[in-house]
Amino acid sequence: MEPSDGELLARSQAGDKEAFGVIVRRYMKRAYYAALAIVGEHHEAMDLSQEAFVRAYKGIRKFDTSMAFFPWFYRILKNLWINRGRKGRHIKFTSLTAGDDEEGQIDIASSDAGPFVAAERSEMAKVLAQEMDALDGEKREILYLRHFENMSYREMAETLGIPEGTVMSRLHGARQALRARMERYL
Amino acid sequence: MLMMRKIDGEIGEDEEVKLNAHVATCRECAKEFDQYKRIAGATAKLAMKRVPPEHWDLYWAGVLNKLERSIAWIVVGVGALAVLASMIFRLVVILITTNSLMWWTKAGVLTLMVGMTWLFASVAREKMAMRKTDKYRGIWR
Repeated sequence: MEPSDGELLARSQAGDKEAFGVIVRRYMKRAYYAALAIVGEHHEAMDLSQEAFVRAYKGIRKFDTSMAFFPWFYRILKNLWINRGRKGRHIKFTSLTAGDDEEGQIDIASSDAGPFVAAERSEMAKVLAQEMDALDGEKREILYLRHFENMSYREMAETLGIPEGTVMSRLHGARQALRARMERYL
Repeated sequence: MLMMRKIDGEIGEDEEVKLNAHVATCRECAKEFDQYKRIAGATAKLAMKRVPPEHWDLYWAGVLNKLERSIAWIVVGVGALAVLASMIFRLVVILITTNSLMWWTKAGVLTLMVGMTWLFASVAREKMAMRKTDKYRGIWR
């Protein structure tokens, strides 16, 4: 049976680097994609997410092992990004276009376009991807957590350190902005 | 807000009844609700680009390398500080024991060194104070 996060993190707190390695392998994809959503560039997302794991390991003794790991890690990642002064950077949303691979997912290294692709080849999907790119960081972040991380309101509130009511109003604001921009496609 | 809760599957039974009743009688809200549903549905269909598998194979090694380098930087920093302190000490000794230097030259150089040390201590103290009052200190910055 696979050891639980709590068990692995407790071992990490005792200095077991390999236990932390299991945690890294377990969460690396979520960490990378969360970073990619923020920075919009593959190499920087790799660097940011790996650096966040380094910070997490150094601060592991402060972590309460009864809590979920990812929200804590996401806050480290976000603070690291803020400290790097990348707050003004935009996520690049793109849509899937003819010529992309058969599985419906473009390889990250195969295109200069941003990290997101539309599963549908419709005009609306392409425009939506562009319009998401034009949103401010706070709106993009809340949509990313909801639709790509599939987080509940409670989980988003915990991750962002804000009340659930604020989560709801941010989601409303983000969708309202998209609705205004996408009116002719709706 | 009820529309958001319904779209995200976070609505309670009573709230849902209330929302459905209103949407059934208000054409404007029904249109708005339909548009929000379409926006949410289309957003959920966006995907993220695939990363080649070799990136994942090397990921943990990358974290280990960064961890090792961060420790190496601390060692370099401590070493550099020790060398600098030793050089300053030697300089002070030379200044005091060299009789050919004018007293005001000695005083000037010593004052400069005291000022530099003071500045360094001030910045270090500020950083320490920030760490104590920083609400994100448990998170990392």
